Amino acid sequence: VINDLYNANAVVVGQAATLFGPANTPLPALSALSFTDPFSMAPWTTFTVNGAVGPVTSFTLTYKGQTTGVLTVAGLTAAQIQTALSALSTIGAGNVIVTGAAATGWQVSLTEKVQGGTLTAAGTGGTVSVVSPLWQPCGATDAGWTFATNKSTTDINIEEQSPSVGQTITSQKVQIEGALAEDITRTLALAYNAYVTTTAAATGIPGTEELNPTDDVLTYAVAMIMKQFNGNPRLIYAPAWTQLSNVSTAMRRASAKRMYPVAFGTVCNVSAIRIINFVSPAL
Amino acid sequence: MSTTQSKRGSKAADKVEEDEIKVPDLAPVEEDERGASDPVKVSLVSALPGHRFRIPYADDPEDALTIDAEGVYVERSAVEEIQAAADRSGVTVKVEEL
Repeated sequence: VINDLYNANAVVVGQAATLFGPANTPLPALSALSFTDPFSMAPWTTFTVNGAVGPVTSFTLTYKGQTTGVLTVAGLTAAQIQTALSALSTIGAGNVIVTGAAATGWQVSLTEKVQGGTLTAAGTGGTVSVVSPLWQPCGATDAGWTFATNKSTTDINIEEQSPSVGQTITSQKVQIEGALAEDITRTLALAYNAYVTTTAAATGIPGTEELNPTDDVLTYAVAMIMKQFNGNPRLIYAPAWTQLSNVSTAMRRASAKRMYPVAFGTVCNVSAIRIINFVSPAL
Repeated sequence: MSTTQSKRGSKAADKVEEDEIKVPDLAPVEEDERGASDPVKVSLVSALPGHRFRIPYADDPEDALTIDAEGVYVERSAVEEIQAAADRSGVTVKVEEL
């Protein structure tokens, strides 16, 4: 359960949530993040509808087999798209927020309960592309996540002077560590640095997900979201991390929980690491 | 690569063999054949690097159309079957018009 990270006495009692995506996946626009609900997944799973400019005169959007009416580009507003998507039985009222404009693309955010499908577009007169979200929650943990920074330093000494006169940082790595508690393919892929091949079911053959551990170094973008002591959101993000820590999980029948301890370590310039405390709501 | 897959890799393969393939044909459309057909690009959307999605061919389940993040070109008529397989398998594919 994700909840407030601090209690009324500013003591850490809750958890943060951690999400991952392919390396260099950017953060969602800060304007899309909910100030009052920091753990809302909606902005992390936003579709961007592009290309409804130039020759495109109209388009339709389809989600989980349901298609909107024809949306005419001339004068089209985000609110009109939101209304059209809300009318789909696979989305429903109150489960979608649309922002943006034709020239910049529309951002379509779905609430968690209707996520899991693919939004597609069909344009008249040209192409309307839909960029799907890439962030995924890492999933539940046993005892939350820890955030650490590890530095190795070298003293600077002057000849015949025993106290060092300064220090240099020879390496610096930020780590996010936790014990993943969901025994699912995604967890195993993260923990064991493995490629995943999903094969659809065929006649007489069940569908499968096969994991192949690899010596290739798999790299992720990782973000951690949490509440500050005052309830405002905090984000921690870096574009490139690896998960190459040793993992030991008991694969046996036992009453003990089956945990997959992971430790993401940054492999990017430290200046690319962002820790963002939200101070005040948007005007 | 199996013999069947090699034949699927080219629409110029023997016509008799092509006729034996159940429709819609999931075979990828080769680059030099895109102008003559009506392909779309299908790619896999996943947070996992290197994730691949295989859809076995109906007439040869040992062989499969493989979709990754880079994408593959397929005939437009195959999109519905690919989308259905993706929904069954819990993966997300992106379809792009050319």
